[in-house]
Amino acid sequence: MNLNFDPGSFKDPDGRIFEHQGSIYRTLSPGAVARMRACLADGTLGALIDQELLIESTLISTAEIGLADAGLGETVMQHARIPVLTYPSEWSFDMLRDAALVTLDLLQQCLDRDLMLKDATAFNVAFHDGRMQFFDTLSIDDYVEGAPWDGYAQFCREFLFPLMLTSYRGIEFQPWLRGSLSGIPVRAFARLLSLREKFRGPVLKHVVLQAKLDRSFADTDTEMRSSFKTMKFSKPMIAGNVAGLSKTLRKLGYEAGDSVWGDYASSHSYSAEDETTKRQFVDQAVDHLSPSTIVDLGGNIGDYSLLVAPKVDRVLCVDIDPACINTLYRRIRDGGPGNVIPIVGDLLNPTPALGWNLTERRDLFERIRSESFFALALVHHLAIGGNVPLPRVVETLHRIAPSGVVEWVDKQDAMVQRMLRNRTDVFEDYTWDVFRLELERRFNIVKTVETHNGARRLCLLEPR
Amino acid sequence: MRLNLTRVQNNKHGSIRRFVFPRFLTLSLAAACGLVTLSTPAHAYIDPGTGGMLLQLLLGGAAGALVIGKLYWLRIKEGFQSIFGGGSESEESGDSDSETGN
Repeated sequence: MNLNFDPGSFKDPDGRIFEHQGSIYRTLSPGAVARMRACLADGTLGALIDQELLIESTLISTAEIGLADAGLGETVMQHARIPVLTYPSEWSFDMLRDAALVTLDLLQQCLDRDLMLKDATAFNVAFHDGRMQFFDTLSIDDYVEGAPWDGYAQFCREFLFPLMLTSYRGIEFQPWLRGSLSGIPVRAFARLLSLREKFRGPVLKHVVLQAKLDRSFADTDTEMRSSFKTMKFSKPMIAGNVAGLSKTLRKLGYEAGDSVWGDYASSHSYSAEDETTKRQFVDQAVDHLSPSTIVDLGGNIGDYSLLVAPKVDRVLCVDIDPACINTLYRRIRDGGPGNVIPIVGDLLNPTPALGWNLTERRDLFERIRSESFFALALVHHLAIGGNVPLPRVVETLHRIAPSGVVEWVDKQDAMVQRMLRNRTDVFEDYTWDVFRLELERRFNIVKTVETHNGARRLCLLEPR
Repeated sequence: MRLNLTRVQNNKHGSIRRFVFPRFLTLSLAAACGLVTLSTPAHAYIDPGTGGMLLQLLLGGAAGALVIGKLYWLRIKEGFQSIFGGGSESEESGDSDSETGN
């Protein structure tokens, strides 16, 4: 029987994720079955799930799901389905920080129960149901007396250093995590910091000293692990480090200094009347199209995503600005709807397929394809800001979803004029007529409404 | 041992790092890693990273500091032995081999 294995799940010999009849399962090696049975029996898994640290996971017999003869053994693990997986390079500051805190919290609870997390990659965590949740159950391993926390350096590379980079240096981490799936190496990060920053306590410990030790000993043949055993590395030492890291992370501040759009909601050019018109149009469009999934492209702080969230199964809100997505994430985390998924993404340069065989991490478009799209106040940024010809803009919108709402922003619009103020206007084809013809080639234009005294048009698009 | 220390020193770049992490501490750790070696195989699922493992020891508070102090003492002993050429086939020279076996 051919099982539909997740191409990104191959590193852990203890088990692999696969999909079967619409559900998500994980194969378990004999050792992993025993471990997970014990975790289930003593209430560990239940407690972690109840605290919303771990996604819903349970053991199920292969016979029960019709896979008794699939060579998977008697038992597999069933997980809640994460409908759209986003990657750390698509998270905002608070998303990565919360993912880090979830990992540390989980590790602390594991230690309390004589367990350990055998790794600490950010890819063990997903945004699911409005919060960051751990989902790699097989990372939970037995604690070995005297052993250090193997995931510490990985935790630094994938969580701590990117967050410090943003907090201390004001540089958003997303491009760095996209560039390197294993995070920012300690020695490289040490070189990025100024002398003043190196004096900060946490930096001195986790960056400067670690880099120094790594530089000095990483290339030797000495097998450090066994040395640690004789040095009686203890559980309180690990717990102390975990508590210290957690405190450090909570103290990191996030100021969206260079954010272009963070203040958009209070500074955009909409009059109250235009805004009401737009909200009504979008709301009615969703009623008309009744999609189950929507992708809000250039969704800013998610005003329209949140508006329509109660009417659909899920809304993906994609925006180029990490500060906007951070604001949206906070709105969701602090009581907003759990079916809105915030994603930091640049449509002019979307996350490509990454990792082993280019299948380990899937490209953004493959993951965000939906039944309908919103492209509100977006087209001019692609066509004029990004020099993408209108036919290509429409082609890509159609590729992402077969129906939706698009807002046309004419050249006379104040925002477009601002975009053109320092450059030659080479956009002769940027006209409503050209855009309308392109739309009509791929969609049925059901309705258009003018706003901004005719400088903008909202269009409701049905599948053609 | 002297050869190995020279190599470690050659790995240093820049005065800033030397400033924040005293050389004696680095060298004492170098000596320690050479001195304390067992044949136990590694079982880590991921590479824990050399710097990461050693740093955890340093962060270990009193216990870690005690170990570091002990290692520093061993380092001084070794230094004396290398200066006065007394480390012919002693216990330390054997450990030194394991340290320089790069």
